[in-house]
Amino acid sequence: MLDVPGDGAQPSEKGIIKSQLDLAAGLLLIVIALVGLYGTLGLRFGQLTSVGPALMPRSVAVLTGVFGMGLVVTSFLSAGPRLERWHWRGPFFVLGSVLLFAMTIRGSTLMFGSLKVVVPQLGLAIAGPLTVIFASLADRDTKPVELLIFTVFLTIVCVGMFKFMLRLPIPILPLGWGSF
Amino acid sequence: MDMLSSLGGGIADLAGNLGLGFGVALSLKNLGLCFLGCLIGTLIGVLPGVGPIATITMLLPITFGIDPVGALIMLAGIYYGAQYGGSTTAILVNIPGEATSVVTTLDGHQMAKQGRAGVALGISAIGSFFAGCVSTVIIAALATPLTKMALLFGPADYFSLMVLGLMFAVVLARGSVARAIAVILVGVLLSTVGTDLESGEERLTFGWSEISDGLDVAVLAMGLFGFAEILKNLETTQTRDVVHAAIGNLLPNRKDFRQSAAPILRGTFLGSLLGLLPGNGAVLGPFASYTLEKKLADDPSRFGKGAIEGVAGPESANNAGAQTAFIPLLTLGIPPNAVMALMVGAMTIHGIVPGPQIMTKQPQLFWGMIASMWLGNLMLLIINLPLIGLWVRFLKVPYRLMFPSIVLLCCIGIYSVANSPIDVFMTAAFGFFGYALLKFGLEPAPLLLGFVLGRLMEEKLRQALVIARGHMTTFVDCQPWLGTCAHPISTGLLVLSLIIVIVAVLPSISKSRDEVFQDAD
Repeated sequence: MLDVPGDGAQPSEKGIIKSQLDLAAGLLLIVIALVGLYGTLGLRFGQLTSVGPALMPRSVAVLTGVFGMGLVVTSFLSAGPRLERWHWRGPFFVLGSVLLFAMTIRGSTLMFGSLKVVVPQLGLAIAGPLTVIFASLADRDTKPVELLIFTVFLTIVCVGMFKFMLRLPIPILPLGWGSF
Repeated sequence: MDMLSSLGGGIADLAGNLGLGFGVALSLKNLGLCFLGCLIGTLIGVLPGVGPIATITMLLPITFGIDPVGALIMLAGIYYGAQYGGSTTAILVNIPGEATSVVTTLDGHQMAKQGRAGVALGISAIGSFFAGCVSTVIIAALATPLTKMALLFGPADYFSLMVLGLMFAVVLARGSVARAIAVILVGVLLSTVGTDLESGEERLTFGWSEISDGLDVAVLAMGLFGFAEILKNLETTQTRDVVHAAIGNLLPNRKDFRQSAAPILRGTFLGSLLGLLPGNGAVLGPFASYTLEKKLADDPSRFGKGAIEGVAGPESANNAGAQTAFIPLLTLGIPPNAVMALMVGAMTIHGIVPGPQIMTKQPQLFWGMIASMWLGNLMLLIINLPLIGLWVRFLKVPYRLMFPSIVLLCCIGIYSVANSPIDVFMTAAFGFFGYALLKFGLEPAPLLLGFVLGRLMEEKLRQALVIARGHMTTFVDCQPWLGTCAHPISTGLLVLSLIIVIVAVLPSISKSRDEVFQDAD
């Protein structure tokens, strides 16, 4: 049985941390605030008579950090919900399939340090079904035959609609396989 | 006498404007687009787990080849069509198809179990149609005076108005006020990413040239709402309790009508009013209407057991609110909720700057859109009821096939906005960010609103300060004890924002606020 978000109402009162949820949210906000401050380093803050580029982002980042710290403090003071369990299967396959699409639709060059990986262009006709099949692995109930038939159908519909009806400039076939 | 003649003139203007609008909306192409929008809207409304935000983003590229008027007519149709469709799922399956149809599940599904599904669907369609007609007239009537008022607004007033809007969003968000404010701040921070327009310096780009133009609202919305929503749905096993009994007669009988007439009127009124509020007041309409009907009823214990008033009122309210939500966008250029924020994105793609100038410079767009809303409501009434059998069949498509298709359509949509694989990549990143936000109890809807308003706010803040030579008094400057008030609009708006936040954190109010959202769970 999966955890249902929002139903984790049992307070986690054991230990000093009374609300895991507040602590996590607070820490996330603080990290965002730090990134915001780091990203505006070296930019002029300016004053009210001449506002600089850093005024808005830096003030907002500071405020975000203040709220983050507030949440961290409350997490030690008042009891709140426990942190929900993270499920990695869903994010991995769903977001992974999106990355797969991004890499293969027009081809791409990835750099891992000094290692260069060239991903060829696959086009919608191949990248599309690849995305669908990879994404569907996120669900344990996937039935292979049903999925295969459905994928073929969906790909044909997508190519027909986006390429031939709407004439979007999206590549359909791998580079050099045809004029699409 | 003077007043009478100006009123007469106003009505003549209104009639003339609506005439112009219908002229535009009744062209064969625009009628077709309106129909298509309503049809798609109903479909996504019926399907739980596919919201209007993801759909509008998905379909943005489709509208590239269409002229701006047609594109906006279609996108608007998707939005209010979804409100119609959402109730079908609520009644037949006991799952809200859309966030605004949560209340309909309470009595609507009970009616369905008693074999009165048809009547529930019928009355919700009729109520929605009535609400749609009334709110179309309200939009048309309010548009001219509000636009004139908007022209009086200086940059400082705009800034304060947006602060007010964000404060409303805070109050209307679920969960704690502090969390909502923090999420909005994150949205505003994200809006500053990219090249600063005045100094030309890059902010928060970390040397990454792909985002030097700033983040795209479609990319952010798709990540936060499209993908994060799928991830959330995959973890909650929904039991689809489809009513197997016959849907039955669709037309309510005379007694049903007598019971529903007043709730429909009250719901329409409440919904229209709340929809006007900046900060997503539209979602509150159905709750407010349900609570009101329960209070007014002779026998409140009938509610929750299939009371027709509990369907008629909220259904009218949600449709009315969905439409009046267009008013702040069209007259002031300020989107009141996440869907409207996306409409701003759509308008920008088509080279339209939302705001008071739309009405004066592009009256055919403005009035065409309004006329199309009325036509759309009529179409929804006609297409919805006979097609219910078809919608039910769509409900039987299992989620295991639906979500991979949504993923693919989202990818194609985002890729096509700018023909950029990098955008698709960023959407995935924001999808993960949205998932984390949900897991940490932070709501993504206020973030998107903060993102869209953030850019405008910074611009107006800077303009206002330049005009006032750095004096903060341009925002608040009122000494009633001296009888002077140099900036009444801005001062009033900021004071109102302050009052709202204070009221929201007051213990008694925040408790009843929790109760409202508890009903939703």
